[in-house]
Amino acid sequence: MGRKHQAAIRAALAAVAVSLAGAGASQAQPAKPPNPDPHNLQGTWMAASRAHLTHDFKPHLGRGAPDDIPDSEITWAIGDVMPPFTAWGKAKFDSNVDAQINNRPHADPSTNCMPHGLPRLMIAPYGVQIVQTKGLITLMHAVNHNVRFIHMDEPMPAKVPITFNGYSVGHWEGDTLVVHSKGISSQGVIDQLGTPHSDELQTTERIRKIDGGKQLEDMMTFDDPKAYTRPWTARLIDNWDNGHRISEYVCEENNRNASLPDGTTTAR
Amino acid sequence: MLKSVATAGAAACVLGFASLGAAHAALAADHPDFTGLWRVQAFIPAIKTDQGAVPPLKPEAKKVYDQRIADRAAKRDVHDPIDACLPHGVPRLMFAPYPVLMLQANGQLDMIQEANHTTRLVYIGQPPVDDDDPKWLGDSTGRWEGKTLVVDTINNDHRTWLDAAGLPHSDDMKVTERLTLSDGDKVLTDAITINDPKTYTAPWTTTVRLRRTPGPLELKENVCTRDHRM
Repeated sequence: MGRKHQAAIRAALAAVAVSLAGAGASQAQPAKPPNPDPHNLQGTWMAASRAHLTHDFKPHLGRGAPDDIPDSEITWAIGDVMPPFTAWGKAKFDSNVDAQINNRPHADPSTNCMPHGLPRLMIAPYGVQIVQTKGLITLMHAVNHNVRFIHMDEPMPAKVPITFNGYSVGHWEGDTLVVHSKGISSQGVIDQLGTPHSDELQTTERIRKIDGGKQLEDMMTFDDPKAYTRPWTARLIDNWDNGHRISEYVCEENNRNASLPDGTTTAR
Repeated sequence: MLKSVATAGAAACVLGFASLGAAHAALAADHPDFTGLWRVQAFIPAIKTDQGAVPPLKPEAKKVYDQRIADRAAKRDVHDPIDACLPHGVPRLMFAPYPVLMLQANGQLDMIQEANHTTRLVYIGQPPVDDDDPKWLGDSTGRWEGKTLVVDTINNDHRTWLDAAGLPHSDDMKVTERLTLSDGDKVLTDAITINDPKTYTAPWTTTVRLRRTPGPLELKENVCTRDHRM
């Protein structure tokens, strides 16, 4: 969406319900049915509606949290409700959640138009377009043109630069794409709630199509000894978005969520 | 590595959405593959027409252009949108001093310029977008003419500059590019025609050449934000 639709884009973080598929319908885009080929991940994927942990999660916080703090779209491990924080991790998490409960949310990279990073671009409700070329899988996140690369069939280098999206190597095991990532900037957080990670974070993803190609399942394991007492796994789901073209999103234009000097944001 | 999986339902064949293996085979047989990392050999700060002239600006537009050149020479603030981390736009992203990663797959030619990972998606074989909504990167569709990919871009937001010198354009500008490969696929030639009767007295063409960067396909992270406070 361009200049005439900027307002819809601006409200993005608070308005998860905004459907970009609706905007896409104004363009004559051919519908593309889901592709059952397990090795062809190409196309546009949109994060499935988040599991709401309201009933389990907010009482767990024990602070009488108001209803409008964001639900954690990621921080449920299979069989658990909260990830196994270390003291360091819990302190960071509490700080982030407290800030939101008290209406002074901390800035995170996306506030200042920096990338959502890994893993958030895999679960953000804006759409990710995947293309596959020889030796490379590229994921183009609709938000501010953040691009994630998965280098196929290469060993993980010993040293990688620290980036928002990390450095990823992948290979196929049958119909499952297995991806290892490290070098993920600790400026980022794991989800919108502010679940933290340190610069020691390494992730392993097992990505596969399910339901005849209607969904992409990403079982992501977080291994971060500084923030968590043991590795834990979350299940991220994206829906096939029917060939919808990802929209233009230029965050730097008229950014109304800019951070303040104390690290909070102007967003309320 | 990327195996084609034959499926009885043949859903993969609907609307030309072929399985990956078949798509790659068709591509290799018929059309050049622009996939690669490309950059101009030398930064082009002020583009000229193929005749070597300053493009034929209308009088009002010439005033804007001359002012920008004068401001830059006098080290005054020129308000170049890229200084505020806004996109280069079309066609400036093609000859900026950053590599452009091109990925040709799935019916698209996707171009990611390293600066702020500005992404331009060219939909091949699709009709032009009809939403009349200006965008920083416009709306691009492409078609093959033999071994040339012809790309049309419309809905170009007038706030982008055509080059670093400051050539202006209107929202109604249409850019037509003819992309070809030569020299053993090491050179990508982009013949760029600007059609903007509100700004220029006639359509004009400038041609840029990008060279393939050898080595793995990757872009360094490049994040430009106006506000770095965290």
